[in-house]
Amino acid sequence: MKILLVEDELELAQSISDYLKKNEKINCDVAHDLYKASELTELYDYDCFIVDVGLPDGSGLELIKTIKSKDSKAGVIIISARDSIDDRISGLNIGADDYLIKPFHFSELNARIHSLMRRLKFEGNTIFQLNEISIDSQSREVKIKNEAIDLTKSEYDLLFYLLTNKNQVISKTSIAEHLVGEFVDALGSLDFVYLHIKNLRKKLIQAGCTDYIKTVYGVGYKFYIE
Amino acid sequence: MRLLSKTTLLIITVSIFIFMFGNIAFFYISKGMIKKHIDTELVSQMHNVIGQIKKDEALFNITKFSDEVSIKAVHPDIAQPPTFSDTVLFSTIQNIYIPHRALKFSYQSKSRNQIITIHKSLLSSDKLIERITISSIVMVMVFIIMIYIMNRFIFVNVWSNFFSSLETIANHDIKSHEKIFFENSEIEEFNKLNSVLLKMVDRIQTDYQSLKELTANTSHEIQTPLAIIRGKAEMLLQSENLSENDMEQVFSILNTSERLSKLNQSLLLITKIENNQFEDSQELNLKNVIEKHLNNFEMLFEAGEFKLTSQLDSTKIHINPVLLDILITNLLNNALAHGQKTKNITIKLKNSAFTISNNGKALEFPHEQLFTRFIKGNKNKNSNGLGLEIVKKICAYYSIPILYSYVKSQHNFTIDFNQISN
Repeated sequence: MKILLVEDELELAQSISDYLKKNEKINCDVAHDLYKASELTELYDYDCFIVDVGLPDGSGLELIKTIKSKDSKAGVIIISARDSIDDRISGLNIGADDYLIKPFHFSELNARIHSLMRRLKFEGNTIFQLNEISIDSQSREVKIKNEAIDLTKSEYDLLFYLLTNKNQVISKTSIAEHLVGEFVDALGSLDFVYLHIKNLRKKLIQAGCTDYIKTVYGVGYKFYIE
Repeated sequence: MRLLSKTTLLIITVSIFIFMFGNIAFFYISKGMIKKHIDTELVSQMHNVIGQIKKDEALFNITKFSDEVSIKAVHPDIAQPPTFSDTVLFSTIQNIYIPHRALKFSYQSKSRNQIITIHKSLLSSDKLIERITISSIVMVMVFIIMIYIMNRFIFVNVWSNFFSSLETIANHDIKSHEKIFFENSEIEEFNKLNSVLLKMVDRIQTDYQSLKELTANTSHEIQTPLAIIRGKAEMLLQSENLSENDMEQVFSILNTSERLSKLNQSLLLITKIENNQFEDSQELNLKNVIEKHLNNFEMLFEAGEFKLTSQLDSTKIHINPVLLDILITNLLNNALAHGQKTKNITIKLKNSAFTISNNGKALEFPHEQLFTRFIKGNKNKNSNGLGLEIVKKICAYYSIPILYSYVKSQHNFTIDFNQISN
């Protein structure tokens, strides 16, 4: 999967691309301004664009318009510090697929990219297989060794989040925010994350699944899979 | 006390005192003057009587010279110099005692010595004094009423500019960019006051604006470095070589920077609300929005062992969707942060009024400060103390009232959406 990250803040861009590249299937290019981004867009085909709105030589929204005018099937995720509704609406109106407010958890961005790619690419085939786990992101059905297991909505979200960020340390705060959404001030009560992990782990093990979920003491969790 | 009442009261008190003493003095002075006048009359009558006796000694035989003059023969050795005295005589006609002024003197004629007493009734002069006093009291009263009316009249005329300035300054919103304008006055002092006020308000307004801009700019500029710190910390977490202890340290950095960026976002949000940057509003069903958020909060309520009871009526309101989301979630966050475990959180939406209640200890600070920036009830390190201020700002933005009450160890927040509902 080829991704173009358009972000003017060098340090931040570097960290994001480093994080994304940890996933062996992702190839991430970085552009720091509109000019370079347009150039790269001309040269290569990307599956997904991650675009910052405020760029030194113009608005990222311009780039999105260009991409979409080329009838590209690529997904577009806007990242912007400006959380005003205008930006969000105009971004989504010109064809962006998702919107992420800066600052965000890299694991959240990763999960968004994966679910977007799944939505765009695997039309019809939405099954996602990892060892004995198989997830149908369309019907939200989870099977362990071909046996369907019954998960609640938040347990499903949690599993999907862990899987898309597999082999990465995922902080409990990022899990909390992923589960309850941007508005909830979940930092004060992270117990529910533990509760949900416990329930999910129990259901997976009961279905005969290997216990992939490792606790990273004091920090969060890691879905460890070879 | 109002300025008018205060000045009127003062003027009336002072004039009552002045007139009271004036009247008393007037009473005694006129009484003294009348006495003097009567005394001169008595003396002239004395000469008159003496003159008449000199002419006609036979008059001595009459003991009563007239009603007012009585003559008594005495031993030739007794000499009486003319003496004034006050006496009371019984009037057989009116059957009352009447105050009199008397002049007693002796007169030695060729043949005999006698003491002559001349009386003059004071009745008419006392009556006169009484009348004068009464009429002067009446005059004083009329005068005081006149002063009262005059004071009002002068007051309204002289102070009108002052009051219009006061009104202007009371209605002026420091937060607005509008310049304040005072009416010109004929009175120099008021013009001076206005110019001083104008300067002050201008100063406060520019200070306020620059402070606000500073907050906004700082918050905005801090966002990027914060995001970088967060990113680096998050990357560091992925490092294979960290010990458990190092991981915790890094996580702590990550968490702290997250808190800082939340704080920052809240400050930016407040600035945006104050700058009216949330103009577009939509018709929304409040019930649906609340239910959507309750859904998100459900697992937090469960984890906190809260018992959530909600009773929601369908209510359509016109509001900016982002602000509504923030309003509802901030109140829910507040209930979640300060509610007592295993206790009820109650949410009601009835007749356009939204109430959220949670159990908890009484506030440790005056409840007027509840909506103030950075006032925190508990030492919850994760709360940034801006949530309720934002709620208040949103309510103020739409001029919808928010009420807080503490009844039976329950904190209740009620927002009346009536003004923006259908």
